[in-house]
Amino acid sequence: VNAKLPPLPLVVAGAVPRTAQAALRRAGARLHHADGTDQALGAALAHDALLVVVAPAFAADGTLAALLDATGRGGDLLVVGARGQPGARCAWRGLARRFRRRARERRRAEAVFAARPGWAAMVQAYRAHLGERMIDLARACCAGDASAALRVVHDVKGTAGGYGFGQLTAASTQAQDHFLLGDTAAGFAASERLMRQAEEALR
Amino acid sequence: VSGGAMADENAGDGTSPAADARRVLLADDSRAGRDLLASMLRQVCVAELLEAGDGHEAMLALRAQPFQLVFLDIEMPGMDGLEVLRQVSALQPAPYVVVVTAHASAVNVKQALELGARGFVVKPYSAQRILDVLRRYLTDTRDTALVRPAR
Repeated sequence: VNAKLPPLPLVVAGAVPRTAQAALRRAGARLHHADGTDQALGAALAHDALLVVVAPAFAADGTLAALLDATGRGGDLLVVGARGQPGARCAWRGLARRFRRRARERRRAEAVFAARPGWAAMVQAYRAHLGERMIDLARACCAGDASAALRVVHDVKGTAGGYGFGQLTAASTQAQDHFLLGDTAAGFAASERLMRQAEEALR
Repeated sequence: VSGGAMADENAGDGTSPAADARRVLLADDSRAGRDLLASMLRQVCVAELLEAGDGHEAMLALRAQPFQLVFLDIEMPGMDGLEVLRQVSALQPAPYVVVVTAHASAVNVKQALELGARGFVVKPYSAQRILDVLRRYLTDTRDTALVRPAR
């Protein structure tokens, strides 16, 4: 993995040795820590993680493996423990190699789709769509209409990253989460941030 | 499928009878979301792509003709994706359904899997994730006619 490329996501759960975590960072991984099976699964899905690296205790009952397998990520689970620890099945060096292989696959897949016919026109059309959605969001914020604002941020969260506006994903996710939790003031504040970022991105 | 129906320009290869045609349904209330996924699938699939903008449209399409693969959004107006999943399981043959949602929670995953989903993709997704889904579909169904041979 080229060191100049942005790091790619990976989920770490439990007491994975620091040496292993450092090796993964050097290989180009951005680590997201999870505490618990459900959190590890949620983080793997939310961040579209290349791998899920867990301590043996997290894999003991097979729940996480079964859920990852059922969601199509069966091959992405790796169990790593301290040397000699029961259940430790993956050498640290092999771990970084595995991550690099998945990272190469991701870059190759992106290259396949980046060359699709009509893609430039689709991005251009999405820019116009994004501008219209920001007007909708501004109207919803002015009217204090949390439901309408939620519909917009939900749409932007789901699509902006795919059209090359990944910088809008974090703010739209925050706004969506606040609205879903019923914290409308925080939701509107995050929506304001999203509108500023979209204005920057569309400039 | 009202309004959003879209036959892929690459649909069919001119040699297969229509009854054997492979069909993929994209059910999502976001037009931009459907366009994005459709553009990816056109690169790698030899199938007729159809779109549905809500759960009712999706069920109409699914009852009208057989689909091999369905990408199903959870949050849609009217009938949501989970209700579609419930009804899809009664179809014969039941299509291979992959849930595509902006909500990544273990609860959603477990619920979708219990209702028969075969895959779970969270938006925004990478191109690699879509290829992984298709690879898994091939492994599970051995339906090699849906995916364009690798060059």
